[in-house]
Amino acid sequence: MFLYLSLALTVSAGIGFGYGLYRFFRNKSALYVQMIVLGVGCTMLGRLFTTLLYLVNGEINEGFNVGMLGIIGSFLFFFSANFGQMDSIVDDGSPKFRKTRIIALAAPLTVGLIWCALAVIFGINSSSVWIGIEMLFLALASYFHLKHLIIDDVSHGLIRSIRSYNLLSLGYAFLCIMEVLAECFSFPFFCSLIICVLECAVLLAFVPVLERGVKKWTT
Amino acid sequence: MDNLTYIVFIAMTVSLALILPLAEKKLRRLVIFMIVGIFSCLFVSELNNILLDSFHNDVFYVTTTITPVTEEIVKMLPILYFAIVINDDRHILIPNAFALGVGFALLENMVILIQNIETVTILWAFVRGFGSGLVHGICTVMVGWGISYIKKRRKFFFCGTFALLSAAIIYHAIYNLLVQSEYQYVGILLPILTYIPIVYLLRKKGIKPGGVSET
Amino acid sequence: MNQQLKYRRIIAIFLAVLLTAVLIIPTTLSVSAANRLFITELRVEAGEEAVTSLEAEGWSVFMSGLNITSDPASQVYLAYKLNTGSPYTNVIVSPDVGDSFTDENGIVYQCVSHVDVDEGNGGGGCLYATRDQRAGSPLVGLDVLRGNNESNKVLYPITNDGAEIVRTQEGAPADLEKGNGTDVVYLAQIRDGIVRPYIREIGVITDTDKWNAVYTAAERGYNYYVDGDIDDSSETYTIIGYERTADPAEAITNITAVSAKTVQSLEDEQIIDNRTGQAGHLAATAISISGAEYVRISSQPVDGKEPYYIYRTKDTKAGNPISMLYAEKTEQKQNYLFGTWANGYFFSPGVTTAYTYSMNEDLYTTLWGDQTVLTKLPVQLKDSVTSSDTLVDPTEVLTKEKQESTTDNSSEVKPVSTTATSARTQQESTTEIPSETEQESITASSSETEQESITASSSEAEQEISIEIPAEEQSEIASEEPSKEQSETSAADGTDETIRYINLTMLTPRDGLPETTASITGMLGDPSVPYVERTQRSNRVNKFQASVFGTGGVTALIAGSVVMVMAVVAAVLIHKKRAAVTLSEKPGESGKSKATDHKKKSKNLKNSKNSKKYR
Repeated sequence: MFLYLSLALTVSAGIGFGYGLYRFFRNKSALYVQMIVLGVGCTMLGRLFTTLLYLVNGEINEGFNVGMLGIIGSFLFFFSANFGQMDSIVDDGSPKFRKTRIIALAAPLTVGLIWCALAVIFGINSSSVWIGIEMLFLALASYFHLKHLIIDDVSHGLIRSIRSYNLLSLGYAFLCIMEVLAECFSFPFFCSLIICVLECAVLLAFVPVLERGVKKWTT
Repeated sequence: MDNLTYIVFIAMTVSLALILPLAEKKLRRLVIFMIVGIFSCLFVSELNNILLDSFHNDVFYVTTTITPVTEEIVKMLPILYFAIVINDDRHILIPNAFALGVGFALLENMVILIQNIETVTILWAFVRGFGSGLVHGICTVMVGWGISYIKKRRKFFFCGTFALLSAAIIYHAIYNLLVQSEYQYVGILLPILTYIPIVYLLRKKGIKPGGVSET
Repeated sequence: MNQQLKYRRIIAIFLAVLLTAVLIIPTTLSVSAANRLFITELRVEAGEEAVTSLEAEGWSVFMSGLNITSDPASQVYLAYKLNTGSPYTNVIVSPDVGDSFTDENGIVYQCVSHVDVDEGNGGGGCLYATRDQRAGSPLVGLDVLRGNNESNKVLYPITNDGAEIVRTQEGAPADLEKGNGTDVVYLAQIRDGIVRPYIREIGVITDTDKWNAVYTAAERGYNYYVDGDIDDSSETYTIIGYERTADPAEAITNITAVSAKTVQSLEDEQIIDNRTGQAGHLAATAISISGAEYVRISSQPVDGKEPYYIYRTKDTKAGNPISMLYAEKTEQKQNYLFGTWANGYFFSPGVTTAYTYSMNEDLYTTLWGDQTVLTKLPVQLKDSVTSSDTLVDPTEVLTKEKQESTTDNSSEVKPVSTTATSARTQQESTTEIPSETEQESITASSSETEQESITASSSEAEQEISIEIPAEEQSEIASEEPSKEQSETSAADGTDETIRYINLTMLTPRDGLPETTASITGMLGDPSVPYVERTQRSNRVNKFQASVFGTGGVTALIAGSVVMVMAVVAAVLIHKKRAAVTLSEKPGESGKSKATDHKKKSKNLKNSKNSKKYR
């Protein structure tokens, strides 16, 4: 059954990525947007690998599997886009944003605490270490998502227009954590199903929501 | 014969090296990258052998989980070096990265050929030629694209390259997984289907083999 | 008013019933829980007098000490007490850090004794134990496992299913003989509630090295293995790996050997499909013996005088669930361990004696009360030569030995017939041959014994073919009886030489083993029945082989490392050169030289967009 969930996620991410390619790679677009589309693409690749591994092998290896790199890669793309491109525009490093920066730390701290709880419950083993690595990148990305969600817009609506995207990304990060928790604590299947449906919805909505926000930059 | 891999390596690289004094700069660079790719393959083959031993000869696990990581990292190093020390122009870097990937695939195919000399067929040659050549080429191009930001945008480089490396590893692992499964023909189609849009995109952006920029 | 009183009474009765239930149910539960015995106390003592003094104080002592030493003064003994309450839940080995310590999960471990478990060698540490429920299920048993260095890597993966190796604080299996370079001593702890008394699946693993074979068995998912080589090759080592289950319905009920020749003859027979009318051959992946379906467990035959395949069945018609397996190369057909086994002393790697004892109570009682042992598979080895006085019907030998053994231990047990030559067997075989569908019958008479019949049937096509084979061949099916020619040769030589066999012995927990038969009464005709042999992932067909693997040389690695170092050095030199160029660009220098430098730099970095600008 997890094969079908994984397949659904692959298809959703694939549709999102395909739409993103069509909208932002045909013509010259902002690198920021392209990075996010690539992030969705990376998710698609990771999910595709997991699906195929289920199909071919019937099971997923404990500890590290290449599918994890899909999550890591996608959040790195999101992080890279925010940290490399957007953050320097919306945050000039002045003390007036200090409070925002501190509040934004709540996101990575929450992720860190969840991992610590998992490590305490299940002990340190290869699985928990790899979950930790996955969560590290997730935490890095979620810091900027939260920061850009709450930061005062001083750049003529640049960040305000993509707040819904940041909210969506934060939601996706939360769903990824829930997916890990569902696996660790063997949640009932319907929980995994709900998480999967929400993730599919988010993956489908990523690019259109971003596109709507980006349009405001030019209008 | 144990050192057949080395013999093939020498035979290939020496022949290719003969082009170097005669070729003009761009072609020479491509050939050098191919030789580097061939050497990377030789290096990684021994590394993979050690890893295979440490994972109890589980070829399936190692080829779907471990070797994509080692191979992509080893292939990335020469491009990274070139970008840091010599030139980080994307129009030069990407075709050379592809040449490196193809060089890698060349030796890989040769080694697999000599290891399975009794079972290989014409179909096998086509499959390996297209599949392996394209997979290694595409993966190296992906990483090369990220590395091209090394001097222009440091923030992008560090995260973007790692993200692209992740994508390349997954792509490579998917190919390895498929060709060893009953869906091996899907695995063969995968790189071909990816190659066409990538070439279209690169052409559109004015990147051609040989490092000539149209823009 | 009366009405009110009535309601009060009803409520009072209801409350009384509720209270009673609340009080009685937990009491009942606690009583039933109290029946279980757990390890509640532990002690470690060293020295010659330790055992005597500990036993005098009512401790149960492991007679095999924790050290491998011949010096009783430096031997360390582990003692325990069983009780119903407050059990230990985990034992670990740690350097002596005082009376207690708290691990990373907040679990407090108390020092069992400050005696070093590796007394004399100084490398082991002390035993610490906890009663914290977070550390796991209560411990019901402990055992000492000894091995040499070779088996070191094997003990860990093979021992599980409730029995686990005691670990260090860091989580590594704790070698109590750490100071000794050649031997290892592990302590195993057995947790409550994880009891799998029956054998669920078996597999055959062949390798040139024993420990590789064991490792492969673990890799294929078999948690236990039978410590005995069952092939006849001096170059290879063949073991039986198996896994356990708590469900008797999943258990194997019988294992048998069929000679490769017989399997070949079965496979050579043409089967006509009723539906298509086409004749074809079937693979004997599954056969029917006395109405029970047996499945082959290996694609390749095991090497013997006559190569043989092993088949197993889970059909209850073939017997009761098997609990233990033991293989030995012996000169005797009977199992000389019979008496020992009846007393519950098994030794099979991964199955600790304590685990054996901790098997569920019914089974344990059965092991004591019922000594039903079946000795089968006396597969003759290649190098064995018969002598005239050993040429006895194996049935007689076996039955006789068993009767003797059982008389020693229990008078109630009935002897078990194991081979093919009983009259009842023949009757069964004969009655199973359907007369209507019979298409082909080849009869060969036996000079010594009765005729036996083998019926190859296609379950799919509902056809059966009866093949009667000569007695000599039949004897090889299960018993590999010494050949007539051999005996004649030996008799002519007048030498007294021995026969060597591979005996696979099975122990079932209950009596009532059916009289087994070696006559194969039908081959199942479904070619889709797979072998139950497990394939390692590494053995999968890899037609298009992904990734490249070298030949184990390190030349490329060394060369690659040298190239990397040279490249780094070159990069540093280039960087320094560039830094020097940058310095020369500093203010104060003439505009001309600046311009020249700039020109040079531009030339050097011709194709680069701009190195400095973006730094």
